[in-house]
Amino acid sequence: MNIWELIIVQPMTNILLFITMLVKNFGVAIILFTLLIKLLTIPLTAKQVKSRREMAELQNDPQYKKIMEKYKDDREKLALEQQRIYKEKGISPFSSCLPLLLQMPIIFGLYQAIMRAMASTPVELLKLERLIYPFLDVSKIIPIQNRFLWMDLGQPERLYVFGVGIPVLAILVFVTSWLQSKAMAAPDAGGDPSMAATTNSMNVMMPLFMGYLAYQYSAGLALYFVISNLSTMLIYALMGEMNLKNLNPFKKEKTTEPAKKVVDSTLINNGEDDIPEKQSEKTPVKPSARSSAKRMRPKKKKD
Amino acid sequence: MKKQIFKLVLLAVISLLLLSGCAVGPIAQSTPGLSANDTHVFVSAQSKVYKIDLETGMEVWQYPVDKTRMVAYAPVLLDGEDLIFGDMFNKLYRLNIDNPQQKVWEFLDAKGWYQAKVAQADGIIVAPNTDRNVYGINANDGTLKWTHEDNFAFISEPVIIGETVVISSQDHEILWLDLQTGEEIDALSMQGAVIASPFYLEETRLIYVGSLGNEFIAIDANTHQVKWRYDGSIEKLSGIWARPIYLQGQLIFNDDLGNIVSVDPKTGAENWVLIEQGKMFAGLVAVNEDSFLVAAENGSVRAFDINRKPLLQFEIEKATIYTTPIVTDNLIIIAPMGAKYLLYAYPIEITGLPQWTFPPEK
Repeated sequence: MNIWELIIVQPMTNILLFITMLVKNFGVAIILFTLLIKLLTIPLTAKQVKSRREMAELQNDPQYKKIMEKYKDDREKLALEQQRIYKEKGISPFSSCLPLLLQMPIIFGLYQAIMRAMASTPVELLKLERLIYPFLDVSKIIPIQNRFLWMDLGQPERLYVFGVGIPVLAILVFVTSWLQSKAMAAPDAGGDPSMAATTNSMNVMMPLFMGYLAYQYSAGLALYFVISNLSTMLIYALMGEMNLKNLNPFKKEKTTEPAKKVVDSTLINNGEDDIPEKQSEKTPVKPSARSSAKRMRPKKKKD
Repeated sequence: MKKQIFKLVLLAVISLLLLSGCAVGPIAQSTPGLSANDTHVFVSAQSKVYKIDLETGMEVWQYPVDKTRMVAYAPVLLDGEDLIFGDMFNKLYRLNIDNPQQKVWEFLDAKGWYQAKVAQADGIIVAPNTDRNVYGINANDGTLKWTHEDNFAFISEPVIIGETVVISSQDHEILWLDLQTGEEIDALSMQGAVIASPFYLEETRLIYVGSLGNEFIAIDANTHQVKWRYDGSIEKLSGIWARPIYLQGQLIFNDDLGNIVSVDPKTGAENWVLIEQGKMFAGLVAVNEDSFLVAAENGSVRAFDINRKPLLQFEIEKATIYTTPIVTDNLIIIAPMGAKYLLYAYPIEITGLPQWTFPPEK
C-alpha cells in the first residue's frame, strides 16, 4: 500500500464502510459521506470564495488600476508593484487556489473510496478486504449491498422502461453539472465573443463529459457526482455566489460598445459601463475574479 | 428564439448519441481466465479470447477479430466442438472451437457481467451473473430455461452434482438449486461471503469450501449438513478465495495470508501446515501425483511435494498472480498480471524456465 492509499484512500474507504454499516444502505452511505466531506471542506470553500472576492474587488481599486496603467509596458516593475499592493491590503493572490488545492486530495480520495467500496470482481473484493481496518469486521462488511432504489450501484445505471434502458443518473449528472457551471458563472458571460464562446462550450462540454463518465462507470460514482453537484450549488448559494439568471437558456448575450482604451486585456477592468444595467441600478455587484477578467476584454459590437 | 430551440435540440441529440454510442464499456479490474484441453489453451483477457497451441504457444485465433466490443475475463467452458463464455457486456456466447466466427448462439438476457466460468450438465448451462441471477440456459439453442435470483452478484463457478447445482453466494451462503428448474432446494449459512467455488469429491461425497469468515468446511453432499469444520493449528484462518486440491488422500487449501493447510478429507484432521507463504489469491494446483504448485501474488512460484518439502522456486518478473495456474499433460500455464507476457508455459518437470510465452518472445 502506498502513502496515498494509506493516508487518504484507506481512511476514507473505512469511513464510508462504517457509515454503510450504520445505515445499512450503500446508496444512502454515499450520499451521507459526500455531504459529510462537503461540510468538512466548507471552511476551505469559504476561504476560496473570500479570496476570490478580494481579488475581484482589487481589480476595481483605483490605485491598482492606476498602477496597471502606469507600468503596462514594464512587466517586472508591474509585478513588483502588484506584490506591494497585495502586501498592503493583506491579499495573497494564491490564497484562492490554495483551498482548492487542499480540497483536491479529499475529492480524489472520496472518489477512490467509492470506487474501491463498489468492488464487483473477486480481485477488487480482495483489495477492498485488505483496505478494511482490523476493528471493522470484514465478514460483516463484505459484500456491500449495492442495490439502491432501481440501481445496482456497482454497475452502470439504466432504468428499464418497456425494455429500453434509460441512463437516468447520467442525464441527472449532465443536468446538475450544467446547472452548476452556469449558476456559478459570472452574470456577464458576454463580452468578448470568443471568450464567451469558449466559456459556453466549456459549460456544455464539461457536463457532457461528466454525463459520459456517469453513463460508462458504476452508478455509485454517478450518484456521487449528482450529490456533489447539488451540495456544491447549495453551499455556493448560501455564500451568495450563485447566479440564477444564468440558468435561463434563452438569455440574450449582452452587447456593448468596444472599450475605448484597453490597458491590460487580462487583468484590468476598463470601467463600470459593462456591468449589467439591472444589477448596477439596484445593489452593488460583487464581481468575482472570473467575471472581472472577462469584463476587462474589449467588447465588439454585433453587426 | 427558434434558432435557440433548434440549437438546444441539436445539443440534446448530440448528447444522446454520445451517451449511447461512444461508451467504451465497463471498467473493472479482473484477472485473466484460463482453460485448456489436450491441444490448446484458451485465455480470456480484456478485449479478447485467445486460442493458443499448447505445443508451440502460437496463436490459433483470437475473438473477436473485428472491432466488436468485448471485455472478457471469465474462463471458457469447453464443450465438444464449442466453447462457452460470458463477457462484461452482459453477453454469453457459444462459439465453434475451430472457427469462433461461427457463432452457435448468444444469450443476451442478463443485465450484469459474467465473471465466472459457467457449468454444464444435462443440456443445461448454468451461468452465474453479477445482476444477482443465476441463469439456466438451454445448451443447444441458448434459450432461457430458468432464473434464480439472490441478493448479491454471483461471481463463482457453480458445481453440478447429479441434478443439483451447488453455488457459492456472497450472501454468506452455499446454495443448492434444482438443475432443471433453478428452484432453491437448500441453503447453508456461512460466516462470511463465499467467493471460492465449492469443490466436490466423489470419493467422500463431501463438498469443501472456504469463506471470507475465516472458515473452511466440509459439507455432506446428501444432507447438506456441515460434516466438519477446520479447527487445526492455525488459530484464525484468513479469507479463502480459491478451491482446495485433492492429492494422494490429502485435501490441501490455502488462505490469502498464504497459510497452506493439508487435512484429511474425511475428518478434517490436520496433516501439516505451511505458515504464511506470502499473500495468495490464486488456488493451489496439483502438478502430478506427488507435488503441487503455489503461485503467490508477488509472482513467486513454488513447488512442494506432498509432504510439504520444497522442490523448486522461481519468479516471474514484475508479475502479480491472481489466476490459479492450470496444468496440462506436460505444461504448467501461468497467466500473471503486469508481467511482460500474458501467458508463461513451463514444462511439468519444473525447471523454472518457460517453454514458451504468449505473445512469443521476439
